[in-house]
Amino acid sequence: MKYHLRIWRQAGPDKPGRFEDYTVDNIAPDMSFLEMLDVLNEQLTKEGKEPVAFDSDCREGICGMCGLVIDGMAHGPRRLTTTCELRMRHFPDGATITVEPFRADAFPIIKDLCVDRSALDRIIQAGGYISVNTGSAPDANAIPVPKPIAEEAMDAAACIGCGACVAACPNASAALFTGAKISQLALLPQGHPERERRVNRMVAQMDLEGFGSCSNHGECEAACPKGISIMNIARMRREFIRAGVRGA
Amino acid sequence: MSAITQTVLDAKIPPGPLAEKWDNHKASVKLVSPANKRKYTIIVVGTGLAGASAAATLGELGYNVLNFCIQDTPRRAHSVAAQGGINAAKNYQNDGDSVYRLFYDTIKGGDYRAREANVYRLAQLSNNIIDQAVAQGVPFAREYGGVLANRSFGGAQVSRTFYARGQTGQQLLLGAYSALMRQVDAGRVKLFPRREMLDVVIIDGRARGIICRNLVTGELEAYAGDAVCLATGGYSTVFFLSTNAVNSNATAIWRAYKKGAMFGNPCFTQIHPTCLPEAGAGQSKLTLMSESLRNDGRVWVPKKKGDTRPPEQIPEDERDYYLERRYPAFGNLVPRDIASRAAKAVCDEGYGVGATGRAVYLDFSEAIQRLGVDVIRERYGNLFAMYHEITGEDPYKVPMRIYPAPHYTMGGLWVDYNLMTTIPGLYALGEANFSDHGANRLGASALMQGLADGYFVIPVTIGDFLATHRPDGLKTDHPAFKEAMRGVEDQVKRLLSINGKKTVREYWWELGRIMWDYVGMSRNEQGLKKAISDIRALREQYWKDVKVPGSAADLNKSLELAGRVADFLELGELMAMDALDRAESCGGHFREEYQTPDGEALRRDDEFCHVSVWEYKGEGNEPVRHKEPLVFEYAKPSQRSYK
Amino acid sequence: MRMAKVQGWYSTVGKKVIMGITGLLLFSYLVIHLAGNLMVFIPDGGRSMNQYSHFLHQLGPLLWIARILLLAGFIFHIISGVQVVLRNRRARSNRYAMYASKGGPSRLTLASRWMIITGILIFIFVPLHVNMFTLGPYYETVINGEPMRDIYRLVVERFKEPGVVTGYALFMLFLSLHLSHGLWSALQSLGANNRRWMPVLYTLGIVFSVLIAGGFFVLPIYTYFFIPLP
Repeated sequence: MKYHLRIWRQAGPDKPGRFEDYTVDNIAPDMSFLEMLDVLNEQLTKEGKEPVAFDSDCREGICGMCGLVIDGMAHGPRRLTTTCELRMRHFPDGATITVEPFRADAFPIIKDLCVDRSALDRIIQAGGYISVNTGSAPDANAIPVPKPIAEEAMDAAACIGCGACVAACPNASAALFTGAKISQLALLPQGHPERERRVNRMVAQMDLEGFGSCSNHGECEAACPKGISIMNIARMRREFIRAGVRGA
Repeated sequence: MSAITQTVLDAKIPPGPLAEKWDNHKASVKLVSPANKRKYTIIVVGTGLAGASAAATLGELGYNVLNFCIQDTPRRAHSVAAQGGINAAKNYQNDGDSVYRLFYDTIKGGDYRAREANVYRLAQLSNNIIDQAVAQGVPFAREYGGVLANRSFGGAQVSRTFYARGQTGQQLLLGAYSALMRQVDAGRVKLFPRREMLDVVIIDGRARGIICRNLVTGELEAYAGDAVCLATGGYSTVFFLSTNAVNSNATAIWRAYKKGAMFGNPCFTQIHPTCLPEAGAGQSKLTLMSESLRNDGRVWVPKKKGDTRPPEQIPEDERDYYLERRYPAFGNLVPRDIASRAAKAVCDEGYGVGATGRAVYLDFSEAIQRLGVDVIRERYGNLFAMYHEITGEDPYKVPMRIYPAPHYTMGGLWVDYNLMTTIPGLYALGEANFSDHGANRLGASALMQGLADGYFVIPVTIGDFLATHRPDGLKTDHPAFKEAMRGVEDQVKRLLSINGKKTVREYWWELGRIMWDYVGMSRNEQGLKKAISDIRALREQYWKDVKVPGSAADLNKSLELAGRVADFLELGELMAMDALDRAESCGGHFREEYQTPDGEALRRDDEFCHVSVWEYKGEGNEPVRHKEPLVFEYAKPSQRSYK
Repeated sequence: MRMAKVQGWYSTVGKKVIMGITGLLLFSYLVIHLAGNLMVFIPDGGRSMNQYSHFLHQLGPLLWIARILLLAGFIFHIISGVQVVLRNRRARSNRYAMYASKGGPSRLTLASRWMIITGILIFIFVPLHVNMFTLGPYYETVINGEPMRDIYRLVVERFKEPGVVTGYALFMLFLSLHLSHGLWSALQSLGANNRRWMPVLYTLGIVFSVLIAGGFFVLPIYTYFFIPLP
């Protein structure tokens, strides 16, 4: 199969960017989108041009390193799919595909399609943990957790930190990412001692990073490759109000 | 073979009965006082299960930790991709499990090529890991009563595997990552993402720092410390196609090897039998699917060579259910290594299916008829969906096509009981070291080892070393750093200046072919010798003809890869040499010359009951093989049989 | 940005809580307002409507408290809304060349994206509306011997002007759009939502937006065609 690609090229964070057009041929339908870009990069290398920089690692949809906006959608048109899992058979032969980086001021572009998502790390750093030093844990079965609660916590914990929620949000908000972690730890009894401090600090950090505010469009959930629900954003707000009421 | 045994290595195994060794050791190691800990700087390279847990725990103890990773955030290390679960000897199921049983299963699963004391300690620590992870908020699967759930896994007769859906590795990694980020917030750990370690700096015979490349700016950076821990994972990507991440590499351990850290059992690799097959050129990785599929799926190939009919048109009597035929007792459930080898054998003979002829069918039609489609969907729904998404074929209707893929490397830097390499002050943790899995790793044991090393072993053993090596305020302006930096710089310049014809990826692919064909699942003397000479030729060509675009002054993924492939081209040769040297079959290492009459692995305990430890002797010189003899006092070696 | 500027009510989450609370306050006012307006439909020549209006005006200080509360809610809603929008614009200064919704569970609609536009239109509408009616000509009538303002007459008079009817109806469409996202969104912003209630709340939000705005929409049109001038 043959594709025409319109790819965002940008030499560095402060350099101007522009779209460039490329054509790739002999693409197998079972190839992933990133493998198609690998083919393009081999082609560019052979032509003596600089390959398109893009991030990826596990290529099985779990590490969260890849992420492109394909035809206007974070991770492309398929739901519950990361860019590395997206197969070319979903694009008609001869199609023109527009590829952009995740865009948000909190995610500065490093080069071409690579962006800096360290803001997400700093949100976790602000409180996305349970303060328990190694060795001080009680027996694992000492704290029973009802199965439905454990399942719900797992739903929230499935976040791979790819940032597609931010990329897809019309406001570039990180509410789903932040809400998912707050939610996971608020659901589990282990997370309760620090819940007020956690929500206050994580929300403050989220804002400091310059993410937008959540307007409840729900586009993040649609773009999330793990289908994390915006109910986690609601829970984050409950935690926030709870912390406020308690004067924490 | 020119390698000669020169030294017998001392593993520093503590004295006393097996069950008391670790406790005795903990009670006797030297300690660093709490007030002094902050004066020590420890460099941890890697943020997977081993690296993140080590960095976090060392930070908690009060050390000053510098933590490096090649990804943009620590949470992406490839531990994240482990699916199945993590073993622990909790015996919550009351099914007779114990530390001893987990120890025994692991030693036996490793085909008696691992160190008893290490494996016993691993089994002991397995329980603490589960406690720690639960306290961190890892959402393990639960029963309705709220207690933790377990499932059984290959190679064990008890249910001791803890899991978080099919994402156990991810959840454990996120637990370690959260502990790490807490230390970053506390200022005890400084994080350096998008850095690739390119050399270790040795001063007075001791590891004192690293050189790394800032992958964003391209600058080379030097960092000094009192000890260096490498937790940089395994080297399955030497095969090009593997289940590992595309950035997984051997560079950190390989450069350490070239600085004097010896390499243990480089040829011990694990090939996982149930992976998605190669689809054709351009493929970047092989996706693993849970082994549990073999519980209900039947493996077959057509009886006629090169039969291109679609599977549903091949009548029952023209199918060869080769595992059931050759292993009537275990059938489709033979261990990983046997299933993998059998698949390769039938494909090599020309019976393989699919476009490349390198795949076998895994057929569920009989199970669907017997159990109904709903039962199959309940058991394997997510795997079937994944297969469908990747291949575009519906496994409810047509058989899956599977093929083995490189998946884990048991070999790695040789370490003693304290996880220290042969370079004082240089430690290797997790898959990067050779230690606990012998010649074959059991399922759900990799996560256990990474976390045991990071959370519980290194925090104890590193103190023992540091207590006798006072901080001296070493700075990176020491000439040794400048020299190491120059070496790295020269290599980078050289790679960029060749400007040949073939891309890095093409060389990598070619190396992968050699490795797969001759140093893969089934090896023989002739093939290994060919592999060694082929790799040498390829390496020579690489340094004359590789094309690396771009510059060293910014983000350049081609350049990153070029350095890694340069190392693979050397490591591959060492793997082949080790495989050639080890004239026996054990675990994942199968030498065709050494098999029982019915084709099973023939271990030669009289000659090879040792760790092969390789020492680098400079460019152009043959490395030297040393030995660490393995003594089995408790788990007495026996022959495996699955007929 | 300083830490104090992102904590508590200054945070993005805090601002959405304010918007949620004030939004619900304004919505409850709309319900009461509509209830009064619907008295136009009672064919008693405006008696009920005028009496209701008179009753409200007699509340005195209570009325003023309600008015101040409403005004405060209105102002806070607007300020927070504008702040949120300005922040959101800054959060992505380089726009996508191509942007599309992925569908599925997404609630991204014209209504959700146009909240600020429909909000501004309502903001323009409200003073015009107050000026036209509350501050409009004072007609007097006597009901049960008590003199009071004949607001009914003013309403019917105004709604005999085609321009007013069209404009009013148009603004009600904007209000409907605003409410269709705003009602559900307010609850979500206050955390008053969960997996089970989500579809119910979302549907109720749309139903209420249609009912409320629809009521206001039908009113002028019905008056124009069917209610004679008193």
